[in-house]
Amino acid sequence: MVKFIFSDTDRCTGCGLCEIICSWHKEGVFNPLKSRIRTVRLGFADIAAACRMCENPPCVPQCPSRALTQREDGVIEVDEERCDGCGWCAEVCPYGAINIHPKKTALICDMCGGDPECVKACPTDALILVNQEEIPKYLRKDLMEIKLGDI
Amino acid sequence: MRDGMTLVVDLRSGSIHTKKDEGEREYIGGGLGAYMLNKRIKGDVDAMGPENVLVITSGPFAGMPIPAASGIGIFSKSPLTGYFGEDYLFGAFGNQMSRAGYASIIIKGVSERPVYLYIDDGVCTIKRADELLGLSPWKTEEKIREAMNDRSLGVISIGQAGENKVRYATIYGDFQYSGCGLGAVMGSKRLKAIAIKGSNDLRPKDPTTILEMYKMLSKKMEESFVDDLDWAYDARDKLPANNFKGVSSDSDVKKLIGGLKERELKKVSFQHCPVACKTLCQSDGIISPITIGGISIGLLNGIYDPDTVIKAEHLCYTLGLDPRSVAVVAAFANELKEREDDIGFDMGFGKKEELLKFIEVISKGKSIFSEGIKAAAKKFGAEDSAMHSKGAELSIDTFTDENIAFGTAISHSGSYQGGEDYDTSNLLKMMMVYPKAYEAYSKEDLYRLYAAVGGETDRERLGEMKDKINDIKREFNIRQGWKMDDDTLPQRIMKNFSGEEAFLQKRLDYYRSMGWDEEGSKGERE
Repeated sequence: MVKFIFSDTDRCTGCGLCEIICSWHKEGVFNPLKSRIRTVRLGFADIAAACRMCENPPCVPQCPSRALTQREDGVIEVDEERCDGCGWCAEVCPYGAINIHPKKTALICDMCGGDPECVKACPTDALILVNQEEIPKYLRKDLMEIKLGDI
Repeated sequence: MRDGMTLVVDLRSGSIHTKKDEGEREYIGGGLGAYMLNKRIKGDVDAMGPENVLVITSGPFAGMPIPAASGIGIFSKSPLTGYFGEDYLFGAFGNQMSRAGYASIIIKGVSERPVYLYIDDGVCTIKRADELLGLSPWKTEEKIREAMNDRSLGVISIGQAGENKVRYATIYGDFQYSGCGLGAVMGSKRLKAIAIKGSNDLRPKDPTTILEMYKMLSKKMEESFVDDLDWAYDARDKLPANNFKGVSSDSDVKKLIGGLKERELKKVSFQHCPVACKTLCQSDGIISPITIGGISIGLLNGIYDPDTVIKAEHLCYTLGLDPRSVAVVAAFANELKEREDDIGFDMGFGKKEELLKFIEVISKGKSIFSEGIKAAAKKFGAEDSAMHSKGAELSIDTFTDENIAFGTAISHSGSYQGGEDYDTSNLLKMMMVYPKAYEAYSKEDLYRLYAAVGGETDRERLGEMKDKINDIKREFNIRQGWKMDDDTLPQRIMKNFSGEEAFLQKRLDYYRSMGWDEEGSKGERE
């Protein structure tokens, strides 16, 4: 099965460095809005989400401009000429792993050619390469349910 | 480095405008805040009146991959001390503010209705906050993020205590709370929260150096960082007990800290902090970050039961109270009770439920204990038992560490967070780096980073700026009626260290090193 980038909930602290590093390596700036990986805090679970390279990715057929294609290794390629940033792909992604660049193109993780920069930079070694079946081992759903209080 | 803009919001008239700084370029971060506050508050204004202003500045490293430096500084005349009020919060707010391009935000006046500010890059709107009233800071944050459909917003907010103008109410953000009663200033302006979002790119001058240094500094921080629970455990033979009257026993501290560690749920950090710096503990379905504040509530009030401490700190967070102040105020009330004063509360060292009840009542803002320890001590004529510096309740590390004690005594705000060397600590403050990263950063690192983001490279000028900021804060305090006797510590702290005589000498030496006269005034140095 294809391996992709995911975070171990027990180790991820939500520092967001992965976003900054990604935007730097891919876009040459420090700006999490231009990152291909996104962090989110759900309840008490910090999660970093990047493309999971689904077997039948719903984003590809959804694209009205036919800008997305899936390579053999699973990576979804974005044809920047065709992509007009309509955001339908992001809408349909079940993992919230697609972002739209402020200049209107889809941002999808391409694994940096197999050696992702964010994984190397993660200060708590929370970012790991996993396949879809291994996810439950690293995702603490119980932490996602917790709240700090009702008032 | 981009020239940051100033956002000026007048809550009375609703006018909002941005402007380029006015000769303020020579100050950065913490210094800019001090300069702006000093410029705007000239006379003796009511800290909770319309004339007081709230100044928020972003640090020069916010938004950059620089460890634990995503800071904002919040400045105002403190309702707790009546002097210079300042504190620093780290995390999403600073990063967003930096990307939004603001070096500072100035909030003036008092709103007629409860409101919050929503800042989206160049657009700032004043929004109704009626539905947020009474909510805890974290619920407020959640509601605003939901309303704006953006989980990444930077939010700072106050709880009920701030709304009720309790003089040690906090401003909360990313599991941190501010001191100096800054939450009461926000509350007095009927400002429940500020939410910010910035989308601009940050392009430092020398990104390669920054990224290299991130790795090096992260490593140093991992090696040197000590969280509050570990700090307390390591200091267990010298921590205070019962309103600083004695020392907590080793076994009691072990029981408390050990128990808290057993109840650890997870460690969390704020944005751009490489180490998980806050510990979340769990008890009976209640989850709370546990900091030196919660630990103090336990130690100073004779409560070594971890479950009560978790509940107490959770209550402080929920209500928006500074737990460090609550600890001291409650301990003071307990001591009065021991003396058989009529304080209107059923209290006593070691009484758990009563303590929790006390916290709830004081958060309403109607008790003399809501006015801070200095006011309460005056009312009960018990100044000797009031553990504060300039009116700010003492943190328990003033009892264990002579440097922190002295730093607190000579501080402008009545509290000191930093390390052994005041100069380096002041530089960290100016550049808005998390004070607990003190061991990881050298002055050299700070200078190099500041040059890498595109700032001043002349170190001598930076050093002068740092000293000038110290002067500005002193100048502010003198105008507010500061006297040399304010730069002191309660006897219970003083006798723990080298004694009063040595303290006075050290203070004099410090004044001289700052170029101040013997009474600690700024004198003629320019």
